[in-house]
Amino acid sequence: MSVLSLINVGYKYPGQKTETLSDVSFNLQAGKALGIIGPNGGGKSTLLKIISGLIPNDKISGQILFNQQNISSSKSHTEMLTKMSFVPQTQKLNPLIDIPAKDYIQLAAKAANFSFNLDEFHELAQKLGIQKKLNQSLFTLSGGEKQRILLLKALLKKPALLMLDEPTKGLDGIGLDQLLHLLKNIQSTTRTAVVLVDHNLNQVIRHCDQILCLNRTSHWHDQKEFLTKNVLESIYHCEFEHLLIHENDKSSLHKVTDPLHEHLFCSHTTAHQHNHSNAVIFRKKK
Amino acid sequence: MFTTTLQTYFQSLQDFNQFDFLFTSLITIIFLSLTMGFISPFILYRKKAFMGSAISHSSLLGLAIAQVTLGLDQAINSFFLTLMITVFTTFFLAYSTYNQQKLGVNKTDDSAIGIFYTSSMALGIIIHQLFSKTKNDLLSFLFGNVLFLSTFDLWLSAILCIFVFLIFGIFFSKWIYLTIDEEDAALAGLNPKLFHYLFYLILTLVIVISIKIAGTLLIETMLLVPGFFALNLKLDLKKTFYASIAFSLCSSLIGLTLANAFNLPPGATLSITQVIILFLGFIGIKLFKYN
Repeated sequence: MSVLSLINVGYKYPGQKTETLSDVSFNLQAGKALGIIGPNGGGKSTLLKIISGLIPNDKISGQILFNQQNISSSKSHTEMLTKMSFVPQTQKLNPLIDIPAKDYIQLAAKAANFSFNLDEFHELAQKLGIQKKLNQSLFTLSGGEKQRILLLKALLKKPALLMLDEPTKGLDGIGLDQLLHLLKNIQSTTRTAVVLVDHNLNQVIRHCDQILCLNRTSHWHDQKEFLTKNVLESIYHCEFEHLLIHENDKSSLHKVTDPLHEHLFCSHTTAHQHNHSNAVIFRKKK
Repeated sequence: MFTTTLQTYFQSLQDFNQFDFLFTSLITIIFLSLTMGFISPFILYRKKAFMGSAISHSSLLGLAIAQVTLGLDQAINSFFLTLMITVFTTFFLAYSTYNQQKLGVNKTDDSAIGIFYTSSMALGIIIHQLFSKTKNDLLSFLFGNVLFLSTFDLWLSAILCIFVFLIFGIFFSKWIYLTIDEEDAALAGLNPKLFHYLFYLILTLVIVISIKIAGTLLIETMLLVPGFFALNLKLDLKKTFYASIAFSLCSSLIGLTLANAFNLPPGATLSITQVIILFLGFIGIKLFKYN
């Protein structure tokens, strides 16, 4: 079942001449993970803000469907917010209110009307490795610990869609493993769809089922096998080493249903679209 | 001399039983100090101290227009006209500050608030000077006068107190969540815009209703000092609010009784009493921790 579908979504910040996002389209199924990659200013965080409703719907072109319902009406959007969790890149917590992490989560649960089960809370805290930090003040926690607290809060909501903006930022190796293991776990057990924005390309490629590359233009692959080193290099405009992808692996490419491979060698000068078998590929450059 | 002063003070307490207007002011101050003690930490947590000052100063425009058009005789109508004008000016400020926050621009730029409130205050003084028949009441507007308090003010303050405790008490977790992280609260389905305007409406109500006690210039002390004291005690969230309410109530009662005992201007005495208790409180806490 499709949890999230974007159809030709575009957005331009007020006062800007060019669009930050244009014609972004994708379809995300329950239990799957979509990785969004791209250089700084490419529109990754903007896209998450659009989906989460932080940017008003009336300023956006295109359609966003959540559980097959259009979220353009405010009523359905409010309802939608109860079924999704978003952990932003930076959380500006008010430093004047000094409360323990556990109290903060309890307060958020009460305010946002989602159930707070103590056993579940401790189980998740253990999985995220922060059970010993729950009674500590939010402001004495390190960046990584704070990130895990926010993740814990997001997961307690049992969302149908979980959006994470650079969740690995500030996490150590153990934290990273715990997070990715937990994400895999909730994807399979609760069929939660995950949208992950991260600069760690290897992590995204390894973890996600689908990849969306954003560089103010959209480049969507519903099968990540299509993603090759030269595509990434053209998006980031730099060269990569040590990427965990099947670069120039023709045998791997032939396994997927896109015998044309045209998108790999696109000159990036014209907009075109391929609809071929199961793969829907958009690539556009203005 | 100290004993005589104390005797004078305690004897003067009987005045509140003898004179109706003093009794009315005492009960009104109890209600208003409870209200201000409750919202004071919110003002500081939400970093709206300057906005509180702007509302209280710009209320002078409403007071001047109400006094010129209706006169002092029509106290009830004057109050509602003042309230309407002040709510209008406050919502204008609320609109501009909310849009700044939302767009993420000029977040720290409060110059617009500063320009707006000083100009509206100046306009109020000019209107009063040009058209008012009685010129001396300007000082009452600026520094308050408990002699103006009536039974109507007592009822207003009682209703306000209940209203504020209900609005903040019932939605306490929502207010705090929005104050900790407005963006996250919006993501959770809360309406930050509604709470933003509601907060300014309540602040305006509190200020306009309390103006007769401390005036447009001194009311800010009563709104800020209790919360400032409580926040510096570094207590947990709920205890911070209890401390602020207790401080506000005690210091207001001491201030009013001192003003009556020694024939001092009530608004100024209330303000200075709160500040003195604040410093004494801090010294006491330091000594307690040291020991």
